[in-house]
Amino acid sequence: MFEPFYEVVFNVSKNITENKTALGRPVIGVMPAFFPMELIDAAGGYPVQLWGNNLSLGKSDAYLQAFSCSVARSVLELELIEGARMVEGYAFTSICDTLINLRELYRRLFPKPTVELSIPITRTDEARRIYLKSVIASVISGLEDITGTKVTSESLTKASSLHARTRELQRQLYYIRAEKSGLIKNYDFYVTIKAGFFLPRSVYNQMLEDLLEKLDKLPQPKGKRTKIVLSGMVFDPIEIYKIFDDLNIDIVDDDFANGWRTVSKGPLEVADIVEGVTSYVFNPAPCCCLYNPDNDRHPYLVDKAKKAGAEGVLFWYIKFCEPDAFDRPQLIQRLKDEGIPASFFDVELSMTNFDAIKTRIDAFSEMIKG
Amino acid sequence: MSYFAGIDVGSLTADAVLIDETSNIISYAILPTGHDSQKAGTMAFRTALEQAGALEVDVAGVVSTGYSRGRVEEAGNSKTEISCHARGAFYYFPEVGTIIDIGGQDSKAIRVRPDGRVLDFAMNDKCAAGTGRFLEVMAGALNAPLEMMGKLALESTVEITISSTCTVFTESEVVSLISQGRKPPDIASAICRAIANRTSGLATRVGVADTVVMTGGVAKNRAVVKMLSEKLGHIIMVPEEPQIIGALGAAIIAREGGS
Ligand SMILES: Nc1ncnc2c1ncn2[C@@H]1O[C@H](COP(=O)(O)OP(=O)(O)OP(=O)(O)O)[C@@H](O)[C@H]1O
Ligand code: SF4
Ligand SMILES: [Mg+2]
Repeated sequence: MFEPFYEVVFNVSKNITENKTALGRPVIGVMPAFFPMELIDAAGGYPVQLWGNNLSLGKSDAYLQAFSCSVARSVLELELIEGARMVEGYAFTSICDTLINLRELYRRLFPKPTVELSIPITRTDEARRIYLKSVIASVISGLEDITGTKVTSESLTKASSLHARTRELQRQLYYIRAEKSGLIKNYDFYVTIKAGFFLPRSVYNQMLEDLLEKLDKLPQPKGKRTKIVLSGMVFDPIEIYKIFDDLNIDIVDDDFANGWRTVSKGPLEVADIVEGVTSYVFNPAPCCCLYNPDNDRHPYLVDKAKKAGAEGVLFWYIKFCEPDAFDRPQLIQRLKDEGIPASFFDVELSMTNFDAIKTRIDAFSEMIKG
Repeated sequence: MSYFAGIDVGSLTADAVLIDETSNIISYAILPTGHDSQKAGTMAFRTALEQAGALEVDVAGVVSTGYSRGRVEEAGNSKTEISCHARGAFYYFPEVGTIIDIGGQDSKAIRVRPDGRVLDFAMNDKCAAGTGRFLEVMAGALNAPLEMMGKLALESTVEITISSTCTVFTESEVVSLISQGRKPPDIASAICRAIANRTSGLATRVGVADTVVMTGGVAKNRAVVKMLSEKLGHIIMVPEEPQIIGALGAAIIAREGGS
């Protein structure tokens, strides 16, 4: 059932190159996270999310300190070893200092054009509107320069509905996973979501529809399994899901920046693009990278865990991700105060030995089982 | 008479404990893990059997634990060190609230419920700082037997502070302290204090209960135990043979049905 998704995730370059030829559109690499890919599609580009690879780091060491996160380091490595030749430009979102620096590095090191959606801290006052208006205008014209195609209100509307459909289908997959816990292996689930990073919307949407139709007919497997919720920025390395599968632990929901925090987003409203993008970025899920006092992560996570019927919450911490690290201790404490067991483990995308993580996950599961 | 066994294959030692139907310890073995962890587990198990004059068929259940718990062929089931140390420490001290296990390559703090089950835990598995391995490297730099480090440290008269907890940096710091003519007991004491300081942070993360028990090989170092106890402001209990507590806990879990 999941083979088509595996085929994509384990043959990324081949798939992107083939799709690029079929579409006749320039490939634009999207950096984490929350860049409205609708804008790229509307400009006649083919957006792909290239982060989350597990390259061993070498060349990137010359540009990024060892205490930068492996998400940034590995994606830079990919460009430095010329592993992203099919990509013609990059779109950044300024959600953390590392990414802001990374964009500057790309500007200096590579001839490929880049655009950056810099997000203002204040979301309410008029200054934000004026600022964002100019940012979005420059993002759109930057994209148009790469693709040679103008963004129109028709192309925006069309792109918006294609992407909205993807997220809607992905949400259905999330709901099935929560309702029929144990039906979808954790590993299969994240391979399916990840395949969407690389495929054109129309292709991916069709694959999701086919999958959902099959899953709909299947009953929930019997047997008691442990239910947990994960929280983090990036859901790689996906090898770790095999550990959860082996231990009969079901991830019934997540709070990943490239998981539910993105999947939960509604359609990009294109009538007023400034308001549309603001609302897209900040809603509905809170994120450690977005300053949003009206959307507190503490009650949000507690509520999420309770609604999912989770027996515990695990934080999947990408080492050296500062925004995530700042939030984590208080979040863990809050969950514990609410009687929800919580713990964390840290990962690097380039890691190959998962024994220590296995012990942590295993011990956490033994702990919540009592 | 049937027996139950726990086999703990850790990063540095492979330990086995044999208990009877009422959880009396019949025999135990502590062997180096070496390069072949599977073989080390088997050897520890056989050694414990020999000491008890028992045969494998007399053993009704085996549970494995430790870093290589998945590679122990004799075991019918496996449990993490966290659960096993909790179970083993609870056996000796039913009032235990917090357990600190310092082994060869990682240190763990475990908070237990009144019934001995795990309530919370924290681990340091990132680097050798503050672990048994750290102590071994420093003993080497000091040219002192590992077993003597604690005794040596307790003879210290002048307090020295080591600035780093990183194994590599501390080793060169120790070498330079030696060349400055600092006394070995004072250096040993500084090394033990570095471990105690680092471990106290871990213990605070899960909460320090009234009864604190220390397990794992490093608990044999009296100076580390004393300094940690001072740092935490709590008496620390140490079982007779702290190094076998993981294996003991595994044996008890085997006796209780293996899960
Ligand atoms: N007699 C002793 N005196 C002082 N320290 C000792 C003594 N014997 C062992 N140790 C310490 O105990 C450490 C090994 O502890 P233990 O056997 O609990 O580790 P392990 O279970 O193999 O490791 P881990 O749990 O990290 O995988 C050694 O590194 C050493 O520092
Ligand atoms: S993982 Fe964290 S530090 Fe790295 S790019 Fe993402 S938000 Fe920035
Ligand atoms: Mg151990």
